[in-house]
Amino acid sequence: MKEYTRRKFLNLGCKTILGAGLLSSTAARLANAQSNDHYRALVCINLNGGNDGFNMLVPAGGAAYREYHDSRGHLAVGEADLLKLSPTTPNTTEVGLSPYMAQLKPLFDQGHVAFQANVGTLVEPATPDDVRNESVQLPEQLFSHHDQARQWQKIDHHHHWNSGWGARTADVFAATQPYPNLAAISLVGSNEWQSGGEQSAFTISSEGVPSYSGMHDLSEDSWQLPRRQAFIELLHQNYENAFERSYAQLQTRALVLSTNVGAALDRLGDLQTPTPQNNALAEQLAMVAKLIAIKDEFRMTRQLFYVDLHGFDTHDDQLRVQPYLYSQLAEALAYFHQALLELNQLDNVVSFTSSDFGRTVSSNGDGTDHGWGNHHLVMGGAVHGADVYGTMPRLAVKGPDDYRNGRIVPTTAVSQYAAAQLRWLGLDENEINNLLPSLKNFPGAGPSFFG
Amino acid sequence: MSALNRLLNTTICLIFTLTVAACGSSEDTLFSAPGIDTGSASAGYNGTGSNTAIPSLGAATAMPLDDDFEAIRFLHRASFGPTETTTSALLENGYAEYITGQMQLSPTFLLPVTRERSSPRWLEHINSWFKTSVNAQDQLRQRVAYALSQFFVVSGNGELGQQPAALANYYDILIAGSFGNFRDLLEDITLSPVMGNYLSMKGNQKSDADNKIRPDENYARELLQLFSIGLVELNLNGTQVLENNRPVPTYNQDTVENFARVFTGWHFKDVDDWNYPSNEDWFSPMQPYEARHDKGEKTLLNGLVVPAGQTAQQDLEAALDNIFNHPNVGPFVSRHLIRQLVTSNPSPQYIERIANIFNRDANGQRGNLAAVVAAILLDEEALYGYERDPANFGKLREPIIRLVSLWRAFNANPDHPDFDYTWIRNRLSQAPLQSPSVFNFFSPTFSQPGMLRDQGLLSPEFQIHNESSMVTITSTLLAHSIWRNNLSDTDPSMAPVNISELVKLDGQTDEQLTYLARLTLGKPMSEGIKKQALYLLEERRNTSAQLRAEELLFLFISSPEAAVQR
Repeated sequence: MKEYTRRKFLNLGCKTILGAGLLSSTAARLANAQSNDHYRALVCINLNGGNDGFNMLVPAGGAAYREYHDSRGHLAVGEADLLKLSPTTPNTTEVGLSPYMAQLKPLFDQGHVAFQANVGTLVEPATPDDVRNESVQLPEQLFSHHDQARQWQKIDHHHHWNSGWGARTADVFAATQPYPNLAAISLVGSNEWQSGGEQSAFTISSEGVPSYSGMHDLSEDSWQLPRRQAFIELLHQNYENAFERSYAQLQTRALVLSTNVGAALDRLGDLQTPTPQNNALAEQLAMVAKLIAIKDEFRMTRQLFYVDLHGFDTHDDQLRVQPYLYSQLAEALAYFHQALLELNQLDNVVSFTSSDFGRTVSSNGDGTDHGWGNHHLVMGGAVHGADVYGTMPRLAVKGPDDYRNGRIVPTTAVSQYAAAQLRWLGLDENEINNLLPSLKNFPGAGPSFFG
Repeated sequence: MSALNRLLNTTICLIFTLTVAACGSSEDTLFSAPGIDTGSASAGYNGTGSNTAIPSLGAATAMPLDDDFEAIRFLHRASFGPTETTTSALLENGYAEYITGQMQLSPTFLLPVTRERSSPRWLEHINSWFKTSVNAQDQLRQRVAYALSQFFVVSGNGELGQQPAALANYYDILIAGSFGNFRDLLEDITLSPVMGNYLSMKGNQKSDADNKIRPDENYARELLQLFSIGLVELNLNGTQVLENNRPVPTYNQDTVENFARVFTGWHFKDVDDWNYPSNEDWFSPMQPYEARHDKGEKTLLNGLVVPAGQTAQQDLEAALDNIFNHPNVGPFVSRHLIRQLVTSNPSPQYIERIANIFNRDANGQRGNLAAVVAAILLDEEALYGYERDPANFGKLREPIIRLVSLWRAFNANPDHPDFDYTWIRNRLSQAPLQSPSVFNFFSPTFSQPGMLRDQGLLSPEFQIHNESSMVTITSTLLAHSIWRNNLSDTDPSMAPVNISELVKLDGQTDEQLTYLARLTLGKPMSEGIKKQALYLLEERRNTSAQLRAEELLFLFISSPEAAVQR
């Protein structure tokens, strides 16, 4: 027992935690298809609380702007303040970007960013009349934070899996990865998108991998080694209690992460691109960039990352909070673009936003309440950017797209938005339909921001 | 007859003989006034309080309690962790005396502690909470208040962090109401300006066509969804009511909009300006401003129509009565408290027994939290669930409770003037009134992927445990055992644990390990932990008794066995 060494510890990790699983037939097919493939990663940027996308991407011309302004009252972005965009496809409504997202505009102009208009949770296509008459199947518990965020990230309306679409996707390719547990990585702890699959997502904080105080020194003669050994031995007992067993398992994973990934990150050091200060999202994305930078040490070819920015539930004080959030978001995205450029990974990484729901176009005095349809953005070298996909809704209260009091019914389903990402990741149509069963309810090709 | 059977019978008797002493007499009233003011210009919280009285637990005096670990497990549920003193007292006096004794103690409030400093630091309420949770005699009340703070969630994680005294005062509402009536508590938290700020009821006003505004729905929605009835109809036992195999929503968007109109017209007491008040009274209940209140007719839950023309206060009373009387409240609140205090996966029967008490205590009163808490703790499933089903019973302990109970067990005192743990959320993923959102640190239905989820077990506390936080939680435990103890040269403001007793037992290994098991595990140690303890004693044989004691303490408190409440 005294001959406890780093080697023994690392072996423990590799065998019990990071070992590759058996290849399923699907995975075997994918493994072949991907053997000479490039690395591809999806980054889900969650705008926690329900982003008011109607103030992010705003109709910029004439009647459409007036309609928006009329509904929003004093919460409306001034027409002159909007950063006018020139989408490649000319027949869409004139649009402008929030003035607080100026850092994002060049990326849109250069074709690295596209918007998807009016996306939301849908089981099947619905008009406002369908919703009022309940003549189609609707998502459960519309306008409730947790339920809508969950449905956004799960796309599992029939509760078939109880897992996120990120988790199901990771399961498809995890077995082709030398370290299946690094297939899905969260920067903010547990989340629905990556939960419920065969593989649990690894959690890393934006500060990196913390080290165990008083147990991190692995040198052969370290005073700490017996302590560490006894601690680890206790994790390998046969615990009868399910909570004890799960705790021991999670602690073991933490030890492995702390040791293996931590060491790789230490060797990497800092990127040249400076991380913006006081920007929690940028800090998370900086860690994502570093993890992408060390992917070859683990020979990973597919990865899913989850990051999150809080504070979008702007019932209150929207005029003060929103400028802050949008400038944080734009700054973080512009930074991430630069970091990926530095790593020469721009074409291999796609980032997209998710959020609980959109917000009411109507105002409650100093904020907006829980809505439904919402605008989202995708970013990456592979994106056919400088365009707005989908249909810009009419933003009139009691208008043709309003279900009630300014809750806009989505015209693109989250499943369609997700399917586009999965196609880019390399899944075939059967696989995608399998993972996103409600997709078949939406005829047509769906969003085409990857061409 | 086994102890288990004897107890089972006694408990069943107890539940049906539970009586509540008459309200109003000075001995029986649980507290005098919430939110003690310490003489500052702002008045202490002046809520409605509550007149619920202590349940009489006569039958429980006969309840057998002959195993030390039974007492220790009970104290993990009914306090922030056992000490040698509280364990012996419980063994001597029994469950009933513990509960009634605890309920009779006058409440220890956070606001006076927070105001001990001339200018409270950012998030100072966290420091006050530690001092109170570790030291207060009214442990049961403190434990229940903490459970309620994860139900009626507000958070200083945001602009409210600038108002530590107001947050302390909000917490005092929960402390004051822990053994009161749920209906009173609903009203007190609704009218708290802290809640008013957090969920934007403060300053919410009626529709105004000229300015194109309509009432804010935030408080209305979360009050229904999180603070009272939940999203779907529940049976008395907490399971979902199903129609055509689908859950039945308790309300719809229309209901939310009607409740939103109810909660219009409230603001800080005596504001000078509705939009930009210069005087903010964070310590008095919000006050109605009739001109801003929507006086129209409203349709609430179960079709109740509140007539037009009522005052803001009348509408509010009607709405809270309407919510309070919804059949979901009993199972919804009971389930939350059981999960917080006892076990993550209570049986439907357990929930139903408690919901019955919530709905109707021995005096026929609805919402008596004192009776509910007593019933939860004395239920046969709470007392014997672990022995019957050791594999699935219990819950993962909250990291912050692990720290507080360590401090209690080893006589650490976070009472030093320079004690400052306002940063602790970064290490433990939680701190009182610091949740990331109104949805608390963890969801009540979270199930850890892997074996817990595969077995269909919920494990809410696991949601804040991940590969990163496991490291920081474990490191925190190491710091507070190996480094911050009374025999190391620790700064007294870091609340060093006292390991002198443990050191004294050096050389008497069996006694030493048993002592540790009692204070940290809630059950006799496993062979595995004993083996590692002996290994460490051998490895450290040429060092000192102090160093050996430190190693053992960390081994025990960081073990998977210590992470679980039974």
